[in-house]
Amino acid sequence: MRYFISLVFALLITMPAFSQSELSLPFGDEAGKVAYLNPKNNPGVEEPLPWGPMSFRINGQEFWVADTVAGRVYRLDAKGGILGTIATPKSGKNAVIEDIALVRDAAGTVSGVWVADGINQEAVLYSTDGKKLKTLGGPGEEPGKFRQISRIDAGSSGRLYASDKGRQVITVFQPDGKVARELPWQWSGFCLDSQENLYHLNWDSQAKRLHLLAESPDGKPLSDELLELPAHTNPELWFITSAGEAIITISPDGAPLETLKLARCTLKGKLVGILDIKLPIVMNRYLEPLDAASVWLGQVDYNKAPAGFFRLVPLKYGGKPEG
Amino acid sequence: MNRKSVYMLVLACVALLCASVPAEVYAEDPLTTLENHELTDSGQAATSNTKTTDTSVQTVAQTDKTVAALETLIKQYEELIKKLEGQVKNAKAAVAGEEGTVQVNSSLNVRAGPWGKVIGGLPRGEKIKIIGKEAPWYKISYQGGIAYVHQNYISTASQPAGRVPVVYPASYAGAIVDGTRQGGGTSGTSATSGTTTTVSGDLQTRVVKAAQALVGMRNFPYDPLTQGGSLGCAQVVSTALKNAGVLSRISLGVTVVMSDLKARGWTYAQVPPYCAGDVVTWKTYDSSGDGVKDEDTHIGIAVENGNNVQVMNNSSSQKMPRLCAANAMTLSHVLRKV
Repeated sequence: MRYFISLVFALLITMPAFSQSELSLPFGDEAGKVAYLNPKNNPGVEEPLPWGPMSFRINGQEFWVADTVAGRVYRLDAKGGILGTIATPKSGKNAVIEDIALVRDAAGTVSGVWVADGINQEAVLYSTDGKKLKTLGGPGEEPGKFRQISRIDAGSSGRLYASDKGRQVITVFQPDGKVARELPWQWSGFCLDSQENLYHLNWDSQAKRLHLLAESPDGKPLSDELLELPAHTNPELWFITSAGEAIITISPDGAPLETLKLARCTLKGKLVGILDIKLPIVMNRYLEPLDAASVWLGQVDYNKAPAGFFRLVPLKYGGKPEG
Repeated sequence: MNRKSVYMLVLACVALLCASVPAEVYAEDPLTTLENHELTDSGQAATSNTKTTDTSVQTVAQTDKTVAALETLIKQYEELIKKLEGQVKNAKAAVAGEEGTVQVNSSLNVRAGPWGKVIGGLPRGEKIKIIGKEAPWYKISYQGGIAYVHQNYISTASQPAGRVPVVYPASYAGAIVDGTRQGGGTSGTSATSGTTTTVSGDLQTRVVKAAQALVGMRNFPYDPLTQGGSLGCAQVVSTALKNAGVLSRISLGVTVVMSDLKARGWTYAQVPPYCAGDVVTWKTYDSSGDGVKDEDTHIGIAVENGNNVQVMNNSSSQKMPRLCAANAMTLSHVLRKV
């Protein structure tokens, strides 16, 4: 019996090491760890969120992790080894990296990283060796400014797409930094496909139906499709898969908001599959594409830090349409 | 036993040793700092969350410490009120000929007259020459003519910015937003009175508009007792509710805001679904020092966009009101006006 228990423990602790795909990072301020902010290291502060890494990106075998509280962006290999670190300036003792977006060259190599700075309400472009190259935005109301910068994405053309929770818009910046256009945004995510077409969601409050809209890089409407989704709230569009499916998360009607379903829909709006996922507490961007059959999912509870890990786990769809 | 088994056994021993190490204990000194208190508008510290046991010597000592801390706190609060009252009394609008500086996030509306047509904008930091006063407006020279800017957004040698309530006339149709936006805005009055804006529409619409207007406001006039905004959630929410015409006062305590709402007929609601305009409280930290997070330590207002719900609430680390998911924290209560 003792041998059996030992074997189980051994398997449990060695499993992550043998896994090629899962990434686990411990909590802490040291290099290779991710910083956190919760009542354990900030007792008596009403901070509404336990903070920690808010976003991550994948590029081939590389993980890019926004260490939100520490104000740094890690470039990691598949086993968590540090390939590089981009330090972003703090404002006082605070840093809040809301999101990151990778700039890739034609060969798919990352040539720069956009960082959404939640303290200064800016989008800042860094080279992979950490040099500050460009800054867009800043606090304000006018086009191109931010009240609460949220998600960002970088197009192959050099455009930057940035959403603002406060102004409720997606702003498209030209490569020269000028505002190309802005479009209304309902806090429901957005993404670019491989052609840099912009996809976003729109809730028709009269018909109470959700639409998937697409427009070309220069803003021409391409499609407007009704999505076949069960009754829900809080829809978010994450990305278009290599199989041409839109990945959308929803909270089913009547279910607690932490109950999430991950839905796959064709670009014509047909529901292909749906499955339950566990909401990480709390991340801004917690889903990234892996392959046609699976996604990378952030799994963490910053309330429990320093216990536990910040984890990125592969998740196979495998679900079938409900009903 | 082969080599692989030995390896596994060694690893298992390491795992068992790790498991036997006791978890780190986070001892927190109860009620010794301001953030552990719920402050009422009258400056009294509410002690409803203080939990004591009469059999524990340690707890008695802690209680004594608590009482002493509360007494000190009340004294500090009274002194602060006197100081602020003095500042308000001494605050004087600028006189003609004085120079002022624009204090807004990005651009201050310049108007043809009080609440008149917007004819231009002045960037943050711009110097202006005041040629007259029509409270709460300054008359200024602008592009060869005369124009008006709201006093609230101008700092002068005799009066800092943020001291003049911005009260929109009932007929005003412009957007109700801060000083950077169309309509003049709400950069705020003194820290003790908060921003003052009147929002029109039905109650739900008013609450939501007033809440959304504060999102991203980087110069929210936090009361000094909020420690620069670290404990500003109740002030932010009660400011929005006051601007919406729901409450008549701004409070620094979550439980005070809840009591005020209940006194006005708001009742507890079950969620989901959240409704736009709901006032939401969470348990975010241990305010009583017993090692357990307490109820109603943070407060926000639910707002809606499409069929997405977020909650406007104060961010301690960013020192500004912002939006976050309602499920980001452990829910305590939801208050709704039915």
